[in-house]
Amino acid sequence: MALVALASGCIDYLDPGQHGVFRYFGEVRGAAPLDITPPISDRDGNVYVLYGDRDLFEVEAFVGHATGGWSSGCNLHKGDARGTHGWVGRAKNRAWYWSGDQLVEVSGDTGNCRAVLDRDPSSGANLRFVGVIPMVHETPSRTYLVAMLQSPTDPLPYLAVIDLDRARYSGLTQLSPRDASGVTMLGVGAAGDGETGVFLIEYVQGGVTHVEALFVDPDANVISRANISGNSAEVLTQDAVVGYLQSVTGKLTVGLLSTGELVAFDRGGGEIRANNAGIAPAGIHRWNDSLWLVGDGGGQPAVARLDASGAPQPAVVWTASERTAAALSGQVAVVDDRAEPRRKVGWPDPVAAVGPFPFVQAHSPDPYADGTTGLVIAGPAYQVSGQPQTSIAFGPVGLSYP
Amino acid sequence: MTGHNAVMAAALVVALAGGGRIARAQVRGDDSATIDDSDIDTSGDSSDLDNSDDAGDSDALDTDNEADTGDEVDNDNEADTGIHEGDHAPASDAAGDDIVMLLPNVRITGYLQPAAAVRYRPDAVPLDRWTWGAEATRTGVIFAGDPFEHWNFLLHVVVGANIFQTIRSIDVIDRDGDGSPEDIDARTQDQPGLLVEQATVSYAPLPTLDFHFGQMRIPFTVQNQSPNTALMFPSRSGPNEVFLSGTDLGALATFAPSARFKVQAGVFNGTDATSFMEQVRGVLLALRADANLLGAFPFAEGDPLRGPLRIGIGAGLLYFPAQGFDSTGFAGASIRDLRASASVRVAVEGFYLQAEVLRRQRTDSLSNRPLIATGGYGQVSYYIRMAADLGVAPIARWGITTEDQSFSPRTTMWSEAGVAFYINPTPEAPNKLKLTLHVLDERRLTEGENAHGAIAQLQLRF
Repeated sequence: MALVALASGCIDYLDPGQHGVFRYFGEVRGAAPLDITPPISDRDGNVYVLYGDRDLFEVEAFVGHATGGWSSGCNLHKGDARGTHGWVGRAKNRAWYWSGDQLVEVSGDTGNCRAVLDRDPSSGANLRFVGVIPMVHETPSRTYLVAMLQSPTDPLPYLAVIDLDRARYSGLTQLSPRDASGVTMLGVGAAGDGETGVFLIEYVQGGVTHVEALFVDPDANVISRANISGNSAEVLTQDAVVGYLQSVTGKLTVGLLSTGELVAFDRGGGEIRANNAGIAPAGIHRWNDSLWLVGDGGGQPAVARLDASGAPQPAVVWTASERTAAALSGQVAVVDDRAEPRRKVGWPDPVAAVGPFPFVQAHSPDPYADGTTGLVIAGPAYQVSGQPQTSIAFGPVGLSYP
Repeated sequence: MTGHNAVMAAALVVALAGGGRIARAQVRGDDSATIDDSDIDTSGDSSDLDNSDDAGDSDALDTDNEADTGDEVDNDNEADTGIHEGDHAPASDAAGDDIVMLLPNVRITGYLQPAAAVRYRPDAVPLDRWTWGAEATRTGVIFAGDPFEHWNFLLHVVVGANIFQTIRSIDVIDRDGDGSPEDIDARTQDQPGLLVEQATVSYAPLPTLDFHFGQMRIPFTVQNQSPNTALMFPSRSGPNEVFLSGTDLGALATFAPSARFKVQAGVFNGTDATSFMEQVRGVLLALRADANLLGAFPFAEGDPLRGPLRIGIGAGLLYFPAQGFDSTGFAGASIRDLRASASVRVAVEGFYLQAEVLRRQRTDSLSNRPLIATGGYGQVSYYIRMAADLGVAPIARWGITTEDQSFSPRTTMWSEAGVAFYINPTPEAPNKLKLTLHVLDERRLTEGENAHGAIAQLQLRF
């Protein structure tokens, strides 16, 4: 009887390019491609979409509730020197984004948001999140992540464990060397092992500019430092890494720089190297324990696998992206989920809201289900005071890499 | 229970129901109302390793935070709610007296399960790292009777089955005095739970067929059918509680043509079947079949009677197709929730083995994200008769569950071992007085966190 039940309960996942129900949840300023960070989801099935970009000093978070309906309005952002970095993790029914110098918690149940450690609980000093490892650890005892904090009076930032439930920090360790100055955060990343995070920083010591990768464990301990060499190392600017650094095992780590070059390193060291994949790169993705360079391959979505040294293999056309784009041609049924009761509407020829092609984006797509990720599409647009406003919808889409 | 106690308790019920009117029972001098309380055998689950109130660990290390406080009653298809002829307490004959005795057919039985536990969670904050002390004493009280031929009823409430946090007060915090609250401070208080484990009316038109209506546990697994006072460990296995816990409202038909075979089919509201939609409407269909290949094999865990070889196999199925509705009352997503279980049990000469596998698949029309979970456990014991008034049974259990398999798999593993002492065991009720000592190790393999504990539980049935 049980076997019969299980046999009859087969589950069909989405094939690459196939999409599920698109949920129309709002409008944002601009025309496609839009300044949107690819969506993520929590364990309860709530979906989070972030309107924002590295060059945009504002943000708005949208929350698609698992039971239907959306919430929006969260626009917490700190600072005017850095834009939106992206989502840094999720838990059962919450997610956190890092925008400017602020870490923000968003509730999947209500859409409510709050700044995490906006000020030091002891001194009341204004705290800056210089860097945040994009990996939330959720255990029965606590929910936490590792970040680099700095207050205006601190000469150097501190590594710390951020307790996301209690909004407290612990395990403070000041960055070394102590005589460093001009510490600049170039990029952050998390490994697929669920343990290791990495900060890529630049600092000056004794008049010499250093670029270093700091591998950290979940307790904010630096477990390894790697020196990065390369031609452009001395001209890197803040948040030079596009999207996040990507790593499978916590050893080889690769990132795409805003200069179009790649930075690849392990715990022993690394370098900045030219991108010779023959594509206009958009980002480094991690998917199913592999790293990929994605981009525009001459008017087509292209993808190149990165080998064990972080070097891109010959790029090929990304068929899953093409299939998704093809599936969006014509009239696409969309559920207007902005307010209840829901109703179906049709969008003519919507396009991927992020990037020139579906999935060709700076951030790695977030796994939504087996072989499935979330996709934001851009639909009808209209003008407000001469500015385009574009309707956007979220839906699950089947995804594969070559 | 003696007839004296039964009647006194019945009088108490009358008093409670009668708005405080004092009732004095007629006391019989004999024990003819004694019933076999092994037949009405219920209790609640204790939590294992999680007694913290941490935020953010809503389901972590805590598989029984739901209202899963007891056992199935009438697990062995015996006429456990009937009162034998002559057992009835007499109706009030105290003419002229203010004594009213109106519930002659009510029997009362129950149990107490005081317990103490120590838990160690090395990765928790210091407050929760070490916890120890006495646990809430679960107390089950069961009222049962058969006022009419073929009809009977059963009410089973459990006190202290679990600890609930209730909000005592809420303060709005406005630190800067600008009229806009920055935070909310909610103060909670632990309260022992009072739960209705079973409230059913039953109709048995045939000796082999009966129908239960009301609130009850769904017989999805073997452990859901096992009396808690006859469990091998103080609580059910972790995997069992992950896949189904609590009670539901509905109807259940049981057909048992012989001691070797039993089929149960029911329809329920499904209110405990999903947390996905707050507003769902559907019917939960339940089906369970058990075959005892070599003869009668009650669901009590263990073999304190050291009987001959018995083998039981079974399977359960829950299917919950439902329609969700949004807050305006219009149709939302549709849901299909399917759960299946399969079990095997073997007992011979004091040795007892039980294993189950469980699977859940839930899909809906909105998310395209299936909820998939798989689990299983195995447990074993060996009863040794040390003396006429003492039996000892080493016990062991291992279980594993993987949840969120389609999204981000999360695996939990439980390992348990201990010993159960049966004090003054009798063939009719070997576990009337039982002390269980056991240690538990819970490993959250995906999250990389472990918890360890030891629990001592004394069980006294009356």
